[in-house]
Amino acid sequence: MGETLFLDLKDFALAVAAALLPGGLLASVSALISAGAVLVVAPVTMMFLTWVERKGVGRFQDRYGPNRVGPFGVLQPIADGIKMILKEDIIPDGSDRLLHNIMPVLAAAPVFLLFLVLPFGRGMVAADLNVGVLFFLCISSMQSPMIISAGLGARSKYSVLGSMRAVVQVLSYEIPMVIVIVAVVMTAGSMSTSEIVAAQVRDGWFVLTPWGAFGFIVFLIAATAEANRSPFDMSEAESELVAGFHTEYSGFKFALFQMAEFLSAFASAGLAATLFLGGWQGPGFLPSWAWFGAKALGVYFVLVWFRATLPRFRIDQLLALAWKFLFPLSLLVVVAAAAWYFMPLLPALVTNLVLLVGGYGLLSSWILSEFIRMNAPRAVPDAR
Amino acid sequence: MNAPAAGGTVVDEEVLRHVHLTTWFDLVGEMEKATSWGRRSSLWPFGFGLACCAIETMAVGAARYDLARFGAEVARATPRQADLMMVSGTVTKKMAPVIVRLFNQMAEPKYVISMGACSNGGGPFKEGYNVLSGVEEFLPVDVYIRGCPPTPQAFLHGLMELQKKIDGESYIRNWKLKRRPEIPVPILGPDLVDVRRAGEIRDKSAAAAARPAKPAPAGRPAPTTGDAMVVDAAAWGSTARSLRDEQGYDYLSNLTCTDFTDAFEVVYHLHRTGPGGPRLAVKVRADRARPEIPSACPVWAGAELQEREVFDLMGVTFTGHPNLKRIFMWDGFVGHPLRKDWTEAYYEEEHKSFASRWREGAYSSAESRSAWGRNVAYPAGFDATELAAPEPVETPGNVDKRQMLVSVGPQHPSTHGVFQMRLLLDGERVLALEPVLGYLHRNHEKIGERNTYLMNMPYTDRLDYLTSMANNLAYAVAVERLCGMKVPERAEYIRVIMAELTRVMSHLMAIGFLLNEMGAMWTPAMYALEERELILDLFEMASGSRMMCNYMRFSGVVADLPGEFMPLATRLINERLPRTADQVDRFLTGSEIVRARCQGVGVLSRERAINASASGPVLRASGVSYDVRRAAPYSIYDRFQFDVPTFPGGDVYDRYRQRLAEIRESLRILQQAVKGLPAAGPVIDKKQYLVRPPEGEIYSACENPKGELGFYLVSDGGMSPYRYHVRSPSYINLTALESMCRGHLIADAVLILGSIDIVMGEVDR
Amino acid sequence: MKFLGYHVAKGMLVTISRFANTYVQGVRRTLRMAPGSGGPGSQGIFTVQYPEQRLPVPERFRVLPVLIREEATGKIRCTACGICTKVCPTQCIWIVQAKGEDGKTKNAPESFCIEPNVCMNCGLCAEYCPFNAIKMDVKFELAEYRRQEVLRLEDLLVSSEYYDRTHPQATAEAAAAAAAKAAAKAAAAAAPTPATPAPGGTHAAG
Repeated sequence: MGETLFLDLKDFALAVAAALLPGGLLASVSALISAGAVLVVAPVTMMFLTWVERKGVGRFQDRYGPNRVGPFGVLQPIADGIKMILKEDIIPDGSDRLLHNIMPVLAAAPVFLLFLVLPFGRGMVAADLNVGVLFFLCISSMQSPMIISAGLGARSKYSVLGSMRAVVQVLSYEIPMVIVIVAVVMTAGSMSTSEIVAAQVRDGWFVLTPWGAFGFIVFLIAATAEANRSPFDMSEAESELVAGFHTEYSGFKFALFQMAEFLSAFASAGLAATLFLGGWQGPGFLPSWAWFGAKALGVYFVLVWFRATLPRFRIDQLLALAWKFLFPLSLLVVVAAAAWYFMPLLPALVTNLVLLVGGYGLLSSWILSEFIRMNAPRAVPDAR
Repeated sequence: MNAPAAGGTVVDEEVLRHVHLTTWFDLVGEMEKATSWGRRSSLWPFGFGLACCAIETMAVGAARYDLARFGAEVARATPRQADLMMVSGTVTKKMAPVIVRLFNQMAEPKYVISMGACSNGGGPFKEGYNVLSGVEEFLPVDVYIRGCPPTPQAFLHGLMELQKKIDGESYIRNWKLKRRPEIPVPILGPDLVDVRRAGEIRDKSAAAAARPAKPAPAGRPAPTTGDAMVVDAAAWGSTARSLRDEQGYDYLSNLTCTDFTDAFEVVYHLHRTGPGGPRLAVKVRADRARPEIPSACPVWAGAELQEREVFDLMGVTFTGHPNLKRIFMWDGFVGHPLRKDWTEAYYEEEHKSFASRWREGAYSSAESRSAWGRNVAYPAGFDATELAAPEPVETPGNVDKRQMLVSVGPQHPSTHGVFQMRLLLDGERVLALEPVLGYLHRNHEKIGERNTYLMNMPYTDRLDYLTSMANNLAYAVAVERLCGMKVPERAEYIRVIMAELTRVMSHLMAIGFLLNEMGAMWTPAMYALEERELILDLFEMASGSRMMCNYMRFSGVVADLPGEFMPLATRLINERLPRTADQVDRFLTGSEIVRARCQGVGVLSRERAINASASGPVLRASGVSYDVRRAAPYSIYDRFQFDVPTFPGGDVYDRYRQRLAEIRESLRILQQAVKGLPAAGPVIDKKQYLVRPPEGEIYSACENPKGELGFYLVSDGGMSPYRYHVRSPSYINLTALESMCRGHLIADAVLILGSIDIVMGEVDR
Repeated sequence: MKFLGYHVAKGMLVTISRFANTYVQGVRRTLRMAPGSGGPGSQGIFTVQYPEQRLPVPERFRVLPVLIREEATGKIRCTACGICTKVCPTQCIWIVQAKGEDGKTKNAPESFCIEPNVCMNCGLCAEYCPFNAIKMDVKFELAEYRRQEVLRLEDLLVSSEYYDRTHPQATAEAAAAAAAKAAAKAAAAAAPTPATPAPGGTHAAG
C-alpha cells in the first residue's frame, strides 16, 4: 500500500516528458527528476530535522520546545529561514570577500550529492552506482578542504589553528568508519548500496550479528564525530570562545553552514541504516520508504540523544579515541566479520565474542588510563 | 478589495471569486507581514548577560518558562548570528565600550531589550562611580522591562511586547533604505568619554569644577585598634613571615584598608588551619600623604588580589607586589574612589537619608545635579577630542612565534558573567593567565558607607545574586555581633533552613553549569534549574522575591513563614531534593567523559590552597577541613549533626564530588532543622530601621556556598558604617586560578574556572 | 576490565527515561491522574505556558510600591510622614508635604514621586510605613516602549479594595491585629487602675 507511490509519480512524470520531448532525452530527464527530487526533499528534510532536534532536546529537558509558531511548532523552521534570509550580510574587514561569499555554498553543495546513493526504498536509489559507498565516502570527505578555506578566510591565527584541528578530527574518524564499511562490503560482496540492502534482505540485518553490532557502534561514533556533533563538537565550542571561522558568518550564509551540518548528519544516519539496519526492509504494513525513513530518523534520534546527554571530549582526547580505540576496534570488526563469513555458526560466535568483547574491554581500559595521563599539566616556564 | 466593480460582467465576478486582487503597495504590505512574522517568531538572543537579571534570563530558558516555545532559545555566542541583545544587569562604565562594540557587530535587523532597573535607568547602583545610568545612553532600546530583577514571566511579557512591536515594522523602510549607523565606541579616559559629546565635554570641563564641593569629612582622626596587633610598616615583612612560620597563622582570611583621615589602616585577619582558634587581627598603618607598606604576597599568596583592590580603591602602594595594577577601575581612571575625600558625580550628602527627599522633596533627576549632565566627572580643562580609541588587538607573544595572547571574555558563552581572562598560550598550552575584573564593579562598598545599616541589607542580596538569603544572613550576623543582639529561637531555625536551602540550590547550579562548560548542552543545568525553581518558590512565598530576598533583619527575620511554606519545604527536603541528588550522581559521577575531562585537571594542592586563601568547596576539595560553621560557629549550627566532607585530590572532579557531598550534608541539616523548628514564637527581637552600633569594629564571616563570606564593619557610633568591606569568597578564590591553569589546554582553563564557581556580583562588588 | 561507555550508557538511560516520562506524564495528566506541571509533584514536562497559563504569584510578592486610597472615603492614607523616604535604600522616593492655607503642614502629600528605574523592589518602604499607606504591588507585567522616568501621585494610587483583594492574608492579619489592639484597649479602659504600657508599642502593625 503506497509502496510504489514515488516510483509511480516518477513514471507519470516520465510519461509526460516522453509525450513532449524526443526519446533521446528521456534518460537525462529521468536523472533530472531524481536529482530534482533530492534537491527539493533535502531542504525540507533539514527543516524537519531542526524541528526534531529542538523538540527532542526540549523533551529531554522536561520542556516543550517550540510550540507557538504553528501547531506543535511545525512552522518554526520556516520562520527561522525567513529571518535568516533577511539578515544583513556582514563581511568582516580582514577576510577575503570571494571566499566569504563562496564558502557556504561550497560547504552545502556536496552534501546534496550524498543523498543520490542512499536507497530510500525498494528500487528507489537516485543513482544506482555500483561504487555507491565509495562515492559517499569521497563526497563526505570533501568537507575537509572547505573547513580549511573557511578558516583561512578569517582573520585570526587562532581560527586557522581551530580549522586545522577540525580537519584532523574529520580525517581521524574517517579511518575507522571506512574500515568498518570494508567489513560490510566484504560480507555483502558489493559496494552498491542497493546490493548491500539486498544482501541483508537475504541473510538478515548485519546489526544482528556480533561483528555487525560492534561495527554499528563504531560507525555511529565515527559518524557523530564526522558531523561535528556532541560529544565531538569541541572545535565548534572553542571557536565560540576565541573567534573562529564559524563565528564570522551571518544570515543566510550561516543557514547554509547549518544545512550542511544537519544534512550530512542525516545522510550518515541514512548510511548507517543502509549498511547495518537493513535499509528499507521491514514488515509489510508500512511501505519500504517509510521503513527507511523511520530507521534513518531513529539513528538521527540517537544523535540527538547524544547531544542532549553527553558533555564533549577535549580535542586531544577525541583524537586519542579515534586512533587508540576506534581504529583497533574497527580492525577487530573486520577480522570478526571474516570469521563470521567463513566459519560455521558456533566457532564463529565464539571467535566473535572473544575478539570483540575482549578487544573492547582491553582497549577501554587502555584508553581510560590514557585519558587520565593526558590530563596531567605539562610543566611550563614561568612567564613572569 | 474584492468587491466587484460597478457594472461588472458575470465573467468578472467569477474571476473575482477566485483571484485575490491587490495593489502593489498592499502586496508589499502582505509580504512584509510574512517577513515580520518570520522575524518575530525567530528572535535569537545574543548569549550575553551582565548581572543578576541575566540569571532570570537563564531561568526563562529553563524548563518552567521555556523560552523555546517562542522559538527564542537558540542563544548564539557570536553577535553576528544573533538578533536580540538583552541587556540584563547593571551596565558599568568599564563594560560600556564592550557592549557598544558587540552591538555594532550584530547584523540588522537587531533589537535591544533593556531588562531590569539597572539597565533601564541605572537602578539601585545609579549613584556609583562606575555605573552608567541606563544602557539607552548608547544603545537604541526597543522594550524596557521593569523589575529588580523582573521575574521570568515579566520577561516573557516584555518579549511579547517586542514581538508586537516587530509585527508593525516595515523591513524595507527600517533596514533596507535607512541603515542605522554604527555607534561610536566610548573611550575609557579619566572617566567614560562618549565621543559623540566630545565638544560638549570640553566646553563643560573648561567651566565646571572637577568634583561637587563637599564639606570636610567628619572622619575619625584617631583610629582605635581594639584588640588587634599593631605592627609598624617597616617591620611588617619580617613579622608576617614569623606569624606564618613560627606561630602557625597560615591562612589569610581578609585583607582590607580603612581611610582614617590622618592615616590609612590596612588590617589583616589571620587564621590557623591546624589548631584553629580565634582569628588574629593585625593592623599596619600607612601615612596618608605617601601610603606605602610592604606587600604580604611573599608570605600569603592570597594577598595578591586583595592588595590590588586596596591599591585601586584606596591608593595604598604595596612594595614587592608582583603585579600592582588597578583591578576594578581601568588604568586611566583618575582618583581612588573609596577614599573619604573622593566624591562621585551624583554625590549629594555624606550619609543617607538625604534631606532633599522629604518635606520639600520636589523631584529632580540625578542627571540635573551633575555638571556634565550624566554620571561622569572630568578633570578641569580635559579635552576629550585628543583621546584616541584603543582597538583591542590580538598581539603576538614576545619570545616564541608560537606564543599568542588571547582574550577570553568579558562576553563568552560560559555562564559566569562578565569575566575576562587574558591567556598567554604556547600553541594550546596556557603559559600565563591574568584575570581582568571590574566589568561589574558596582561600587557596593562606597554605597555601603552612605547607606544606613538596614539599607545595606537589600544591597547584600546583589552580591552573590544566586545566594541572597545566605548573604543576608552573613550581614545580619555581622551587625548582630557588633551590637550584641540576640535572635529568637524560631528565627534561628528559619535562618538555617533558608541558608541551607540556598546552599543546595547554589551547589546544584554549580554542578549544572560545570557540565555546561563541558558541553552537555544544558541538560544537567536544566535538571538543576528545575529544583532551583521549587526552592525559589519557597523564597518567594516567605520573602516576596525569588532572588532578592531581603529577608533577614537584625535580630531576626522580616516575617514569619506563611502557612504553605512548611508542607512544600518538607516535601522538597525529604523527597524531591534527595532524589535529584541521587539522579545527578547516577547521571554524572561515573560518566567516562566527565571523568576524562575532570580527573587530574586543575589540581590545587593543599598547601597552595591554604596559602592562596581559597575557601569553601574549593578549599575542602583540596583536603583542608575548614568550614566556618565549625571553625567560628554562628547561628545555631553547633546544634546540628553534619559532616564536613573533604576530598584529597583538589582537581575539578573532586570539586564536583565535593559539592555533591555538601548537598547531601545540607539536606541532613535541613531535615534536622525542620524537625527542630519551634512551633510558634517571635521571629524578630527588635524591629527597627535605624541601628546605631557602638563604636568599634568587627570581622564576621559565614560559610556561604561559594566560600567564606565575611563582612568587615567599622562603626563610629553613627547610623552608617564608617567602613564597610565585603570579604568576597569568589574574588579570593580566583587568586589560585592561574596556578591551576598553567600547563593545561585552553578548554581546561574554562572548566577550571567553572569548578571554582564564581559569581561576578561578588567578585567585582 | 573496564568498558568505555558503560557509565555513559547509564547516564543516557537517565535522560531517555526523563524523555519518555514527559509523554507518559502528559497522558496521565490528561486523564487527571497526575498533578499539573510546574509544581513540586510535577514529573515530566515542567513548563507553565505563559501567557496562557500563569504561575500564581504569592501574596508577599513585591514589585513596585503603590499608595493606598480608602475605597470607602476616597482619602489617601499617606500622611507624608517621610519615614519611607528615610528608609528607602536607593532614596528613590520624593515627598512634598502639603501645606494648608495658613502655611501649616497638613498630614497629606502634595506630591509623591518614585523613580521606578532606581527602585530595587526591596519593600522597606511598605515594611516601615506606620499607616499602611504604601504597599508593594504584585503587578509584574510592566514592559514599556518608552521609559517612564518618574511615577507621580496619580500613577501610584490604588484603591484599598484592590489591595485587600490581592492580599487577603495580610488584610486578615491586619484586621486581627487591629481587633486585638481594640480589645486590649477596651480591657485597659475597663480596668481603672493604671497599667504599665503594653510592650512593643513602637512597632507598626503588620
